[in-house]
Amino acid sequence: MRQVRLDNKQLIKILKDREVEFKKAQELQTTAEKINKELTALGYKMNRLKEKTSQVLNKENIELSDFEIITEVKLEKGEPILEIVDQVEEYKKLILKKKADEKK
Amino acid sequence: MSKIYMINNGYHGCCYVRILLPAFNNGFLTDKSSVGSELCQDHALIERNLKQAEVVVFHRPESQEHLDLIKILKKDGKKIVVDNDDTFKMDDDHPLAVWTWDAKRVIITERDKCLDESLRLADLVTTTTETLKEEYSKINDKVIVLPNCVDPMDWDEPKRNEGKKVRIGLVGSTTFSYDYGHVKDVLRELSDRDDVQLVMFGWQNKVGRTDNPRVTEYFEKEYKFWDSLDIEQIPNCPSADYPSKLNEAKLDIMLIPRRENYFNICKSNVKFLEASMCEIPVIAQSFDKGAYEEITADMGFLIKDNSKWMEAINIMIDNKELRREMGKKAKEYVLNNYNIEDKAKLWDEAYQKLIN
Repeated sequence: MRQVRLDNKQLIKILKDREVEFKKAQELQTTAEKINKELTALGYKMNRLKEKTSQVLNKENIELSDFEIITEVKLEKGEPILEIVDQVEEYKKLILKKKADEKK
Repeated sequence: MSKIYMINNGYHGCCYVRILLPAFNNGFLTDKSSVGSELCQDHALIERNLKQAEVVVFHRPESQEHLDLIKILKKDGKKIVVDNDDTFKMDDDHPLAVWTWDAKRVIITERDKCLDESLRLADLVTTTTETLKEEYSKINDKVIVLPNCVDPMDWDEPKRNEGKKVRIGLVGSTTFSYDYGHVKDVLRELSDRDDVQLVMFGWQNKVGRTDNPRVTEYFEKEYKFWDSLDIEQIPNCPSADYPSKLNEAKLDIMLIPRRENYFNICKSNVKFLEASMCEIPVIAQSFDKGAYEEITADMGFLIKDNSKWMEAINIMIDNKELRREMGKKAKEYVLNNYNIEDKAKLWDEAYQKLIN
């Protein structure tokens, strides 16, 4: 291997610019990795809170008919509200909508 | 993309503290998305995560498949971390040796061989106690202790027993591995008292027995002992439900008797940590290098002389205020010293050193 030194001002500037951009990219990469990790941790936290919600709801013994499921648990004016859907009724609605669409 | 990928195994309770808590709090990727979820079965996703990872962490890689994977990953330039929190060195006191028939003992020895080879190949070994560190250091000189921790998020406000009887409990392994053998008389005496309700939360439970007829057969004599007591039985439960079940048990006192043997010397203090999160004061076995030596007199009792169990229990039974104070103090101590929110960085720092 051998080295050649060039006296080229344009090349010096380009290489310096490259250095600056590379550093910026590196910094962004580090930030992105950090944000990614934080997002992953938040995702886990959301999963765990979801599990805890299920545990609490299981203890509440909410009465559901054979075809009903809880689709959403939310806070409304500070009060927990459960949305319960009858799957058979939903399916009926879907079929009726499909039929109506076909007629169009 | 996270540079760390953590791999669970079938030991759900161990993996919760050794894999999931560090992963959840550091944002490391792992093959289990929550405590209650199943292991990821999406092999393409696992493969992608493994390819992108720089450090792959295995908890107790005891199978040939684990070992083969470690070899492949090492060839691919990945750094390997092996974590384990129990000794697999078989002696006659090892809980598995106590009730395992010969054919299975061979399997356990094979598992131990795979584990030893994985430990040898690892770039870093992490474990729970100084005794285990000593054991693994004979195989690999890069061993560090990362303590078991608690996550406050998993523990609700402690529930109180407001009933007339003092609820005294034995939990998990202390109900199983003959660790209670030397306190049988104490348990009998407590069972006969009108002011005490004995509670058993664990494997000797009547429901759990039927799950494993082989164990039932082996423990027949022990079951007779348990069944002769007036004892409330709480079935073993999935690890996701454990914190709330323990809290709902509303124990006033937890007994942690242990035989003094190598397996128990290797064990961590996790039972004390869990009890403390429910503000349950413990009366725990004390022996040289034992897990509970850190418990001070304001948090609970340590029993070295086995004739002193009843004395300590009576002090606690008679003094509700003392029990409550001890429980609160123990929780405060555990949160100050074993809170994963503070300690998670220990895992990150250890793994980053492998990358840089």
